[in-house]
Amino acid sequence: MRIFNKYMILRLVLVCFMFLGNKADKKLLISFHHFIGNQPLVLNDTATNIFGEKMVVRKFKYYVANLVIITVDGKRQTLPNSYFLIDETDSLSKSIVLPQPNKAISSLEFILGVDSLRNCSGIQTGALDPLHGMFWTWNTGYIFAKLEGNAPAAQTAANGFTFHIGGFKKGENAIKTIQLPIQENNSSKDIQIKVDINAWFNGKEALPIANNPICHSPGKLALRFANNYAQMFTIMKP
Amino acid sequence: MKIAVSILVSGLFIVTGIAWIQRTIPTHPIHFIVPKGWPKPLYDFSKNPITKEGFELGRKLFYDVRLSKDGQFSCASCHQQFAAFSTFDHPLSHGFNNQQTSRNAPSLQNLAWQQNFMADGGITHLDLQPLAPITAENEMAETIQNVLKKLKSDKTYQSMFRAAFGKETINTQGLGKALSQFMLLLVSNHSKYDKVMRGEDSFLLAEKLGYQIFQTKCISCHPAPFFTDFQYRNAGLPLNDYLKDYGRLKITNNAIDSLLFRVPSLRNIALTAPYGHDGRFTSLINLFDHYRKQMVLGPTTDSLFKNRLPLSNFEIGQLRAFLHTLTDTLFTKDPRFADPLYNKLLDPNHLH
Repeated sequence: MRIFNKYMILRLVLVCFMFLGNKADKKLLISFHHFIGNQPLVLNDTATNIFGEKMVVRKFKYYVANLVIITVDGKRQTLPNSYFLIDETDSLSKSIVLPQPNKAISSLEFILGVDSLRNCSGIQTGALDPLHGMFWTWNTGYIFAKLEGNAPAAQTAANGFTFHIGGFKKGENAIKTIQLPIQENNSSKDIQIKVDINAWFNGKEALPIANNPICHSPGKLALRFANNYAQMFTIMKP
Repeated sequence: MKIAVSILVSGLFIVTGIAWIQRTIPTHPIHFIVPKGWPKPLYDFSKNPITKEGFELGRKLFYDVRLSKDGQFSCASCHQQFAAFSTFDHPLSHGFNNQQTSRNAPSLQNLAWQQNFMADGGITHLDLQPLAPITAENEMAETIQNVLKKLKSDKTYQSMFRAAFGKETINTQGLGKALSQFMLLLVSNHSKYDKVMRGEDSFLLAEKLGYQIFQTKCISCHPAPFFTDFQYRNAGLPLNDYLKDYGRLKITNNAIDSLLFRVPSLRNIALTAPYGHDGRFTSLINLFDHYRKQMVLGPTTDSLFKNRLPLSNFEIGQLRAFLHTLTDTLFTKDPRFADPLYNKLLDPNHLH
């Protein structure tokens, strides 16, 4: 008798996978779609921002955390300690799959950034691992959002612009709570969020690249950029 | 029947396999001893209990030059045990590509009682501290990804990480925790001063007089048992035009913090020259001269120094004698903290 049948093991493994697959049947897909105005973002490609400044975006990533799904009956379904690093270079990272709530969704809430507790409790793992380059090693704290590229308007070496925005301490808290109402006719299975980079430059106030090509630490300028980019999200019409 | 048996056996095989992979290997806890009369440590040991395995992993990492980009620098390159884990006789330390650091390497001791790290206090957790020198372009100049890649491809590290943390994963968190375990045990409390306080030894006359002067003139910023109050102060060191280091200001963006640096510990001070955040004082005599004559009083200079710090030649002599009692050679020669390879060399079994 043959004890080790290699096909048998394969079959067993397959059955295990099928079992796992059946469990999460009803899914909610939240996806992030990056734009500059109405042009989809293409990394390393020339684009023009709202002030007509020519620019090439090289990096665009940010933290979405502590998601809350609010249903039409007013219930808040929270996902505590949920951290997602949305990164333009990683298409998988731009979709978040969650269990679908029983009722229709009326709004979506999350923070753009990382809550202060996680900034203060040593080295984290997963999306918050400092190896993702979203962490200031010399001034403990997360970079909540990063936008880098080149623009002729930037009076810097190689015309580079680098925006590393973060800060959680009193007086420099750049954590932003984002609330996005969902229209009734929107699907509760598939929420598509438009993310417009133009908001960085002209959200609450005008911050053209020419004026501030570099922001690398928490503080006043970081707060102004955070106030601007807090307005970059809108729900896309179905 | 045949099929049923083969399912059963292969099932058992898989379960045993998984159990084997997931098995927890017992670790050997090391009890962290708080010296008598010292306060409760600030480090949260419940999040990172010290074990023999974790400590030995941290020790290997501390002495491993592969943590740097070009394989020339380990943590120990700038934190040398014989200099109480500071850089011996260097105002600034060496880094990648013939560069220099921007600050004098501090001694590493009694870190379990320290909340913030770096002369500007920018780093708020010991586990996070090593990431700064590893990634700084003028220090070890490496990326965390590359460090992890090097560790993951090394069989010894694979088994040491598994022994320390009970799992295969070699990640940033494990790296930081292991290094912390090594650094936390760097406790210096066996200087002559400590022995005198415990009644095991007595001061010579000059040391005793120096201790009295110390208590009237130095103790407000350098209180025992750590000989620092861990506060940020401007001790009248004018800005260096080349380094342009404004200290704490860089972290808080607050003008009142301009030129403030953390008060350094005076433990093992006789081994940690040069002095000052940028190593501008080559000897203790330079330092005393700064305090009594050269101090530059600016808008953020500590109010304790309104009249500078008057010290007579006699007082300087006695103070020197006292400061030398803070040297802890048991600490600087403790074989537990030495390069693990160096210990092997000393092992008689390896001497031919």
